[in-house]
Amino acid sequence: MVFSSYVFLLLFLPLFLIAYALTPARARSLTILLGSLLFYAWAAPAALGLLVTVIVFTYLIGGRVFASAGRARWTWLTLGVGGNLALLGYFKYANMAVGSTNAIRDALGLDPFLWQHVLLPVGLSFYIFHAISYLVDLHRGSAQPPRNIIDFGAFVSLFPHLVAGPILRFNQLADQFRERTHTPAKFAEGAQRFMIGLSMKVLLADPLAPMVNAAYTAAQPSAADAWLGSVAYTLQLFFDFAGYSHMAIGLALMLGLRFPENFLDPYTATSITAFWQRWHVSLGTFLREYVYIPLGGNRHGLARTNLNLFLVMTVGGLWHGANWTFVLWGMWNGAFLVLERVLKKKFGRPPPPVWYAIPKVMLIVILGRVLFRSESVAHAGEVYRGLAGLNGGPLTPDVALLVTPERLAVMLAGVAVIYGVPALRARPHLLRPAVSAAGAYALVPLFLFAVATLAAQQYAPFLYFQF
Amino acid sequence: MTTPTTTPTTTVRVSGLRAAALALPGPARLAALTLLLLPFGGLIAAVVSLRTPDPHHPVPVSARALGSGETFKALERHLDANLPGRDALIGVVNTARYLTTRGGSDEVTLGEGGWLFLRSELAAHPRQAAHLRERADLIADLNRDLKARGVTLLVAVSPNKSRVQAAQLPGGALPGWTTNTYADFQALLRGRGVHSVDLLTPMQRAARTRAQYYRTDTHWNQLGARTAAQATAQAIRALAPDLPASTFTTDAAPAAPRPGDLLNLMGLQHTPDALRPPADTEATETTVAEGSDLGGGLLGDAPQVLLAGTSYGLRGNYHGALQQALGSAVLNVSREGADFSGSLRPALRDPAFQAAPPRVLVWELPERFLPLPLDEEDHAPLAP
Repeated sequence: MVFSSYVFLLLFLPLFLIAYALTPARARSLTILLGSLLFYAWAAPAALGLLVTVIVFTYLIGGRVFASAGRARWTWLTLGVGGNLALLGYFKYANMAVGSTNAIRDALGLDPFLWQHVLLPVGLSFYIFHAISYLVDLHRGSAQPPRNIIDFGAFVSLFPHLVAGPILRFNQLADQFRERTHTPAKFAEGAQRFMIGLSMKVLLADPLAPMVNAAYTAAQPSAADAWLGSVAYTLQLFFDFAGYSHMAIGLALMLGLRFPENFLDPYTATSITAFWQRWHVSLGTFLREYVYIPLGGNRHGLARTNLNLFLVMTVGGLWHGANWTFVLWGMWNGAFLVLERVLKKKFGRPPPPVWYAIPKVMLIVILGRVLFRSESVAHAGEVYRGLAGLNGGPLTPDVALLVTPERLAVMLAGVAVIYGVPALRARPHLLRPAVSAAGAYALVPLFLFAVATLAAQQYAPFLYFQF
Repeated sequence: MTTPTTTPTTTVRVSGLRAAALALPGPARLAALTLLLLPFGGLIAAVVSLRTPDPHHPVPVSARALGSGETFKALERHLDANLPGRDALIGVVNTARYLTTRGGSDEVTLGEGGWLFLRSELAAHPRQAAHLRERADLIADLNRDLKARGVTLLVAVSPNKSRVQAAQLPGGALPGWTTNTYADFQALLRGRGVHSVDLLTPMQRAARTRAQYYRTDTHWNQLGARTAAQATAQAIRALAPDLPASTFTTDAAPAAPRPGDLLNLMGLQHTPDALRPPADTEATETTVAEGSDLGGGLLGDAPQVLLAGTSYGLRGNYHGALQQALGSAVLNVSREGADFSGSLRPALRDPAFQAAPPRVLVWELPERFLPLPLDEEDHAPLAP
């Protein structure tokens, strides 16, 4: 089930809210758990067993981690994290591993291994990360175990973040599962966040999808195809994922839970380092806490720090999918993080002016996203050829057909939102109070228009569902 | 939820809750209210939708369907299709889209001067050549079979609107495809000895002075149908010069607006003309035989020409214009939604056809179906 669907808005959400409101406070985690399992089963009934298995396995192991000490505690943690990673590895990376091995065997003239393709269950990466954070937080002593498996199951399967994040550490929500407040202010804030998110997704991300798809399925994209498609994808991905995060945060607030922010105006970042502190913050935080710091972080000198940074970004790339395109994308970002760090250390120059720094960062981001969006490394190479103008200049006919005034207007509106909103937030005095108030009220008709648009558009799943 | 809660540490009194709600800033209060009212109003709509019988969107309920998720998907489709007010929602959204950015819908592309085009006509089809060959082979088999039974097959491909009215496309031209479906298919048929009539050339010529298609519809208009009918009649006469003669007259009703099917695809069928591409106006023509000697001749009352076509065969008085141009009766078994062979197959299976086949079978089929993969039924021979 996706948030931007009638079945969620008109059936699941009201029924869940009614059930939640009627449930006594002590049983609300059970309502969340059951509702979330139904939410999950709607998308992937066959994979429900895996989710339940992860919950039960991690809860039982977590109990052992908490109750033991010394080497035994470490052993239980290793077992728990290893078990979860094994599941992730099998479902997410086994196809890639066998495919790569067979490519090598083929090159050596050996017969390929026979292999039944494994289907990736929806949201697996997200709930495995949630489970791992629980075990590590217990081990570190930064979180107390939940009251019971119901609370834990509700944390892992919590439907606002179950299938596409944000990725939450257990200790961020543990206290809120024990006690949380439900106030009109929280509900209203949640409602506004949900409305912003749905409007972003439906009005700014989805209309760009056909044009991006056409540009990225062209066998030999021209310069115009490649640049238009890549810029449009940069906008689409932001409004799709930031929209989802807004909706997730909003829904959680409506249930009394406060999630941390996941997007902090990333496209206004003036360095790649800053960009990664602002884009998909929850993933960055998770990788820092559970990969970068265990690798040694910045405690072992500059070279080791740089290596750690590079490795963490590569792992982050691989987390997005079992494809060499993601690995290279992670390395691309890791390389720029390292480069920035080295240059800063070596030259210690003052930061460049904003008018130069933001376009530079965006160029690096856009070029990196070519790898992120392409089906294969070979196809990414073809898009890069297009970007360099080696496949001709003008739009190819099938892309040109989809470049409508409407889509160009959506792109312009997207750019205005990305750069206008932070500017106005920083300088609120630029707007008259009446205009500000009108803008705030305008959210409701905008949201209602987005809801109506759902009736008129084809199915458009969230991009991050595939991860 | 904003209802009072009694979590272990927090209790909010109802009166305090109301006061807190009223103390919210206006936009926040409005947002909260909207997100309470919309889902609950929507819940009623969803229940109504789910209780609406809909044979087109059945919901399978079985262990297998539940396990595979098919039940949930079908339920969602059923809900979406039967949501009360859905057409109105689509109308509002697409009207706004049209008025603000001159945008169409997923299926419709806007051209110049209020012209609308079916987007599928403009799509690229990477495996087009293979699909054209498969269809041509299928038709060649049918042609041989019919020939053995004394029937002459004449294929009349109704050209894409975007091909005839290319000047009205956005940018004033067709996309620069390297393939020409129409010409390629004609050549394939010729190469297989199948008679076909070129409707495109006369229609393109006529379109230079007067539109041959409706602005807001995928089909040819009465002028276009007449142009196509005259070309078809000429081809039939070349194949069967001695058809029984009949006389026909054509009457026209007073001119009236004719909103086209592309307005429906944009969800604008109920939108006032001022807020959408204006509907076409047409004085609908009807052609009837003078007297009752419909096709009376060598084969008694049975017309010797059979037209098996699609919605084009039913639009713009094509059938009437064909009879008039031919001067002989034509039996029309065209069907709505016939796609490729949807009207032909039942016609060939009809016992009347088997008992007294026509001399000429005119098979009208739209160009836009040709580059698509064959349907399941089209993998079987056309003739029974």
